[in-house]
Amino acid sequence: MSDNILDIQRLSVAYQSPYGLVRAVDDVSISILKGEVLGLVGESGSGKSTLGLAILRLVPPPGRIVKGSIFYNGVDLLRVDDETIQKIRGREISMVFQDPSSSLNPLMKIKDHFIELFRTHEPNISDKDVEERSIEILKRLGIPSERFNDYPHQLSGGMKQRVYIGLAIALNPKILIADEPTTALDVLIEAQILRLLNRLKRELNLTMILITHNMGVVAENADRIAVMYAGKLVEAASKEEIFAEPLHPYTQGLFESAPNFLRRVRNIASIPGEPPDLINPPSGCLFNPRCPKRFDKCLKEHPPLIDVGGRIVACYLYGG
Amino acid sequence: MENILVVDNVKKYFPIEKSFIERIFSKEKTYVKAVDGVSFKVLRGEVLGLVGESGSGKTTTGLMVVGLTKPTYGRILFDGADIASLSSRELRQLRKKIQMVFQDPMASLNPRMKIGEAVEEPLRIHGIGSAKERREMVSEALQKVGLSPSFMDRFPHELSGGQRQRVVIARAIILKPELIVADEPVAMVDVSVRAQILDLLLSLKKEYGLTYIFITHDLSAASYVCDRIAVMYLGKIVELANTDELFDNPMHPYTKALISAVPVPDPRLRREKFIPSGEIPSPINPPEGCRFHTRCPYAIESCRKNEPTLEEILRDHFVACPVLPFSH
Repeated sequence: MSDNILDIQRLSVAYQSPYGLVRAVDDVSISILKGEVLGLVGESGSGKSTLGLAILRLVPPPGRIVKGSIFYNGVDLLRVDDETIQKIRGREISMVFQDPSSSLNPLMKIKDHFIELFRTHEPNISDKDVEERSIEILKRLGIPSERFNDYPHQLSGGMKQRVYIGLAIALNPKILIADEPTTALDVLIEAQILRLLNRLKRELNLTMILITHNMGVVAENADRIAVMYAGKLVEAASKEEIFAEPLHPYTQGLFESAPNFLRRVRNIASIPGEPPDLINPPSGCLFNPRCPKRFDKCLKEHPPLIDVGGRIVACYLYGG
Repeated sequence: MENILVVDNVKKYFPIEKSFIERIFSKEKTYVKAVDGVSFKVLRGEVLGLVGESGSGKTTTGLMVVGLTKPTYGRILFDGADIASLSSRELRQLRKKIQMVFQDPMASLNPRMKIGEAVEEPLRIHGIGSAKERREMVSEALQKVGLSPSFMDRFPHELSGGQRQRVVIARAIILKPELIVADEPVAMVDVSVRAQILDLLLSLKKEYGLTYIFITHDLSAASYVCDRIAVMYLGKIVELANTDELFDNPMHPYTKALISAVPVPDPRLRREKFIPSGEIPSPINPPEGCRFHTRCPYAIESCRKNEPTLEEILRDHFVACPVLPFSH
C-alpha cells in the first residue's frame, strides 16, 4: 500500500541473557498508515516497547536486532548508517517514554534541554531563535513560559511529561512513538495528557504509535490496534472490528477479564496462568498453555500471521 | 451489621524537616497534612474501597489502620479498642487480626528467604505451633492461594509476578486475620493476571469471612471488588456510597471527574469527559475552604471559605459538597 508511512517486515530482536536467548520481538510484520494512531497493546514482556525502540535503533545492549527490515520513505532504517539514523531521530521519528522524571536531566533547566536539542540538530541556531521556538512549543503544550528556567524537580509529573512531549515534537517529526506515556500519571492527568496528544496529532499531522497495556487507552485514542503476546504479533485490526469481534483467544481473554465499571459484572472470566518465560517458551503457539480453544496443531508450531477478511491474526482457528 | 472498624476524625501530619537557618528565622513548624480529618466505618464482612489519586492520603489511612503509623489526632477503633493507645504487646496481638498486602510483592518478600520461610514467619513471630505444624499450615495456605506446596523451597526471584502476589496473600491469611488492608494489590501484576488475583481475594473473603479495606487508584478494579467506596482527595473523604450508587449517581464534582476520566475499554461506550484543569495541590498548604475549589467548575464564593463536611445526602450516600448535589 502506498499510504504506509512505516513498514515493519519480519522484525526479530533478541537479548542474550545469562540463562539463554530471549526473543523479545519474534518475526513481527506490521505496517503503520500515514496519519493513523496505531495502538500497540501488550503486557510487560510482550515486546511492545522493544518494537518501539527498534524502529529508532535504540534497543539497548545486550539486545540486538537479529533480522528484518523497517522501511520509512522507502529506506530501510535498519540498514542506513549511524549518521542517517541520528538525523531521523527527533526530526522524522520521535519517541516519548513512560517515566518523565528519568527522561529529563535533573541538572539541566527546562530551557537547557531545548537548547541542547536545537543545537544538536541545527548547530548555527541563535539563542534568540531557540528561546522563541521553545516558548512557542511550551505555549502549545499549556506550560507557562516562566517554567522555562525551572529544573525538572520543580515541575509536577504531568508538567514534566508535557515538557518531554514538547521536546519530542520540537523538530516537527512525522511519527511520534509514545511508550506508555501516561502509565506513571494519575487518572485525571492521564486524561489531560491524552487529550494533549490527540490535539498535537491533529495540529501537526502526526502519525502515532501508542504503546500501552491499557485497553481503555487504545479504545479511546487509537484508530487501529495491534496486540502482542510474548514477542509475537497475535492480532491487528481496526479498533471497531477488534472490539466488536476479537479473533485471537488472547485478545478475547483480555477483553473479558478487564473489569469495566460501566458494565459491572460480578463474575469476570479471567485468563488462567501467566505469560510464558521467554527463556523457556512453550512449544507451538506461545499462548497455547493458557488457551481454552487449543487443539493438537497448536502444540506443534506457532501459527503464522494470516489475513482474515482484511484483518491479521495468528491463530489456527482461522486457518494457516 | 456490626462495625469491625471505626475511624473517627483521624489526622496524620508529617512534620517537615527544616534547615538550621530556616529554624532561626521561623518558629513556625510546617507539616504535610497527609490525612486531615477522615471518618468512616467498616462493616464486618464487607469490602470498603479507598479510592483516590496519589497524594490523596489513602495509603497513609491504610497504614494507620494496621498500626504501622500512629494518627496525629483522632481514634481508630478495632472491635471497640483504640489502636493508637495499645501497648506494643497489645498491638502485636492486634496484628494477628489485621494484616496488610502491599503493592509490590517483590519488595514485600525477602529475596534471601525461601517462600516457605516467608509465609511461615508470622507464625514464628506469634509463637504458633510446632515446626511440623507450621509447615503444614504453610502448605495449606499456599494451596488456598492456588500454589502447590512445592513452592515452599523456591526463592521469590524464581516466581512470576502473579505467583509472588499469591505468596504475599498466603502470608497475610496464615494467621487467620479478620481484616485485611490491601494496598493496590494488583497494580504491579500483569494485566492478564489481575482478574485472577481479584477473584482470589474475593474467594478467600468468602471462605474465611474476611473484611477488606481495598486501597486503589483504579476505579475499574474497585467497582469489581468493593461493596462500598470512599473517594479521597487531598487528605479528605469527599464522597462515600455503595459501589453501584457511586457509579450510577456520583454527586461530588471530583468523583464525577474521576469516573469520567477513566479510559473505558469499549469504543461503543463513548462518554462525555469532564476533566478539571491543573493538578492536585500540595498537602503542605492545602487550599482553604473546599480543597477541590481551585479546580472545580461548580465552585461558588462560599466554597473558598467554608470547608464542607461529609453529609448523608441520600440514604447511605455521603457527599462533602454543598453545591452540586443540590444544583438540579
